[in-house]
Amino acid sequence: MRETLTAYLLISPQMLGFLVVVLIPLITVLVLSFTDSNLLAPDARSVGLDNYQTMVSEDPAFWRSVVTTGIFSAGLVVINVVMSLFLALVLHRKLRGAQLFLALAFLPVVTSQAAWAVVWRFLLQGEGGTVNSLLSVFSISGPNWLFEAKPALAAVTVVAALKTVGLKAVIFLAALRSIPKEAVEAARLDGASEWQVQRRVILPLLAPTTLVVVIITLIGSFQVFDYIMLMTNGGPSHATTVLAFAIYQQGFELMRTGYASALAVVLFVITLGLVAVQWWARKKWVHSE
Amino acid sequence: MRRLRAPLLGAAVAATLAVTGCGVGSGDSGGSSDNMTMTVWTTNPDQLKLLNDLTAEFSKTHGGGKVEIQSIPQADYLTKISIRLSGGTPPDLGWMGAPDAVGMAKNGQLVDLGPQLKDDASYQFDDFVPASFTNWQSGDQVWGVPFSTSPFFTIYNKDLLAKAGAQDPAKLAATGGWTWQALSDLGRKVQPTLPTGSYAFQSNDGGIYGKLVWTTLEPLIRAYGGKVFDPDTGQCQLNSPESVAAIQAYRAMAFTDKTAVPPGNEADFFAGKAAVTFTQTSRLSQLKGAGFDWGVAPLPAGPGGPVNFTGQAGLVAFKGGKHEKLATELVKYLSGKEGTQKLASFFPPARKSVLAEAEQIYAQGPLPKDAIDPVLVSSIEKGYPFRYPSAWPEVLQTSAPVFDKLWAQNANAQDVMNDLCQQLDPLLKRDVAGS
Repeated sequence: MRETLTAYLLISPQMLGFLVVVLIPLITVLVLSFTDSNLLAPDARSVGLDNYQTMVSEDPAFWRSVVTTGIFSAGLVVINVVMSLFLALVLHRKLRGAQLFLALAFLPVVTSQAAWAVVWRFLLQGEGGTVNSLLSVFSISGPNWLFEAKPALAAVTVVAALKTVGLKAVIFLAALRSIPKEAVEAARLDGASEWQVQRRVILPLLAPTTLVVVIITLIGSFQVFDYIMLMTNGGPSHATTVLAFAIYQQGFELMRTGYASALAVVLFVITLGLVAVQWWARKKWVHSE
Repeated sequence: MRRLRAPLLGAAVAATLAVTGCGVGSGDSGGSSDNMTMTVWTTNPDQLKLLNDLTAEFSKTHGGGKVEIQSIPQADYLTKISIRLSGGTPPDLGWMGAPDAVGMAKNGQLVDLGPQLKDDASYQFDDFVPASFTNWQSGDQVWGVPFSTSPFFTIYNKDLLAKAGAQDPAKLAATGGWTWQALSDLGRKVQPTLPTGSYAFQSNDGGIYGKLVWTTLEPLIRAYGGKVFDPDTGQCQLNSPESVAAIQAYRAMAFTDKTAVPPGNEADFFAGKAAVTFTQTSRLSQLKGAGFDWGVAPLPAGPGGPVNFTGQAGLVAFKGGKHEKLATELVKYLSGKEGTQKLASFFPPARKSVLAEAEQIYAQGPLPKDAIDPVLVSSIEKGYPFRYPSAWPEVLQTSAPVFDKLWAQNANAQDVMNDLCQQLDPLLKRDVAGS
C-alpha cells in the first residue's frame, strides 16, 4: 500500500503536467469545436456539429488546405527520409572527411527554424536571389519562387525537409552501426552483390528505424507553421496554406476560435489515423522488431 | 455556453501561461484588486517611464490603486487582449490599433467615452482634429481617443539621389511638383546608378505585397482621385478607373521600369538599399548611425491632388474591467491637453492646440526642423486615416489571395480588382445602416 502511494506520488508531477498542458487544452479544444466561439464576440453558443458540417460541405478553403497538407507532407517525408537515409549509408562507409560532412549536414538542425526560413526567403528572391543566380549560370531562368503557386509549395517543402536531414541521418547512422556485422558478412559469403546486401539485408534491418523516422517526420509535417508564416504567409493565393496554418488564420486572424478548434480536432484525428495505419502496417514490412 | 466557455478558456490559457512562464504582462500582473491595469505594446523604457510617471500622478490626484502598465508584444497584442476579454478578465484600459478597435467597438467590448469627454468643457473635445476620430466615433458614441496620429511621409536617401542627379523631393514638393509621376521619373533616373539588389523605391516597410498593402495602396489611390470604398454605401471602389490607374502606375514601376522593389524581393531603405520610401516618425530611430544623408517630403500628390494620410493608435477603456469609471477618467487624463503635451514627444498628437507647439516639442527631432510644419503638422491637420470596416479581419483574409494575383507579372489589374470588389462588397456593406 505504501509502495503504491509512493509510486503515485512519484508520477504525480508528470501526471499533473500532462493534465495541465495536454489533457485540459485538448478537452477545451474539443468542447470549443461545438460552439461558435469568437474572441471578438461577447457570447458563444453551442452549435452542435455545424462547424464540422460547414468545413466539409461549405468551406472550399478546408479541402484546399487538406490537399496542400497532403502534398507538403508527402514531399517532406519522401525528401527527408530518402536524403537522410542516403546520407547515412554514405557516411557509414567511413570515408575520409565523413565526420566533417555529417557535422555540416547537422548544422541546420541546431539553427533556429525562424533564422533558417528567413535566410531561405532571401536566397529564393525572384530577381538576384542566390538560387536564381546559380541557376542562371546554367542558363536556367528560375521562377519567382515564393510568389508563384507551385514553386512556392515546392520551395517551402524542400526548405523544411533540408532542415532536419542531418538529424534523421544521425538516427539512421546509429541504426546502421547496430546492424550485426555477421548478417552482412553471411550475405556476402553467400555471394550477394553490394546492391543486394543493401537492398535485401541492410534496408530490411533498418525498417523499424525507418518506420519511426517516417512517423515523426509525418507528424512534424502536419504541424508545420513557422516556414509558412515566415516564407509565404500561406500564399500566393492560398498555395501554401496547410491545415495548421489555416487553423492559425481562423483562430488568431479571424478570431473564430470555435471553427479553428473544429479544424484542430480534424487535424488531430487525421494525424492519429495515419499514425495508426502506419503502426498497423508495420507488421507487413517490419520483420526485425 | 458562455458560463462553460469562460472557465474552460481561462483554465487553458492559465495553464499554458503558467507552464510556459510567459504571463501576459510584465511585472506582477496579479496585483491587488485596487490596482488598475493598462496594456501597451511598447517596450521602449523611456516611453514606459513616462507612462508610469503620468499614471502615478493620476493615482495621486484621482485616488484608486496603482496603475500597472503591462507591456505585451505587438504581434500578440490583439490575441492576448481578446483572450482576456473572452475570459472575463480584461485590462481596465489600454492602447488599441484603429483596425482592431473598430471591430471591438462593434462587438460591445469598449466603453463609450462620449458623455464623459464631451460633457466636460475643460477637456476641450473640439480641440481634436475632427478627422482623427474617423475610426473612434460612431454617432455620439466615442470608443477611444487617438493618442498617436502618425502621418506617413516620403523619406529619401540624399546621397543616392545626388549621385544620379535627381531632383530633391522636398524642393519639388514646395512647388507642388512632388507627384507619383515625378517619383516614377525619379526612379528611372536613379535605378541605373544603383548596384544590383538596390531599388529606387521601396513601399512602406516593403509591405505592399503583404499585410501592409492597404495602408500602402490607400495614399496611392487617393492621389489618383480614387478611394478604396465608399463608407456611406459600403461599395468597394478599388475597381474604379481612378483606382485601377493608380495600381497600374505602381505595377509599371515594379514590372516595366523595375524601379520599385518587385514581388519576392527585399531591399530595405534603412539599410541603404532603396533611394526613396514612405514611413512614419516612429521608424526614424532606425536611421541612427545611418551611413547616408536623408531628407523628408510629404507623400506624392497625383491627378486627385495632394494626399495627407495618417496611421492611428488610441486609448480605450475595456468593458467588464474592474474599474470602468476610473479607467475612463484615466483615458481622459492621458488624452487631455496636458497629458497630450507630455506624450507628444513620442506620439504625434491630434490636438490642434498641441500641434501649434510642434516646433518646440520636436526641436530635438526626430524630423528635420524645416519638415515639422509642412510634413508633420500639415499632414495631421489636413490628413485622415484609413477608414477600417468592422469586418476588417475578414477583409484582410479575403483580399490577401486576390492581391497575390495582382502582383503576378501578367495580371490584368482591372480584372483582379473587379474580382476583389465582388468578394469585398458583402463585407463592406455590413457597416451600412439597413444592410
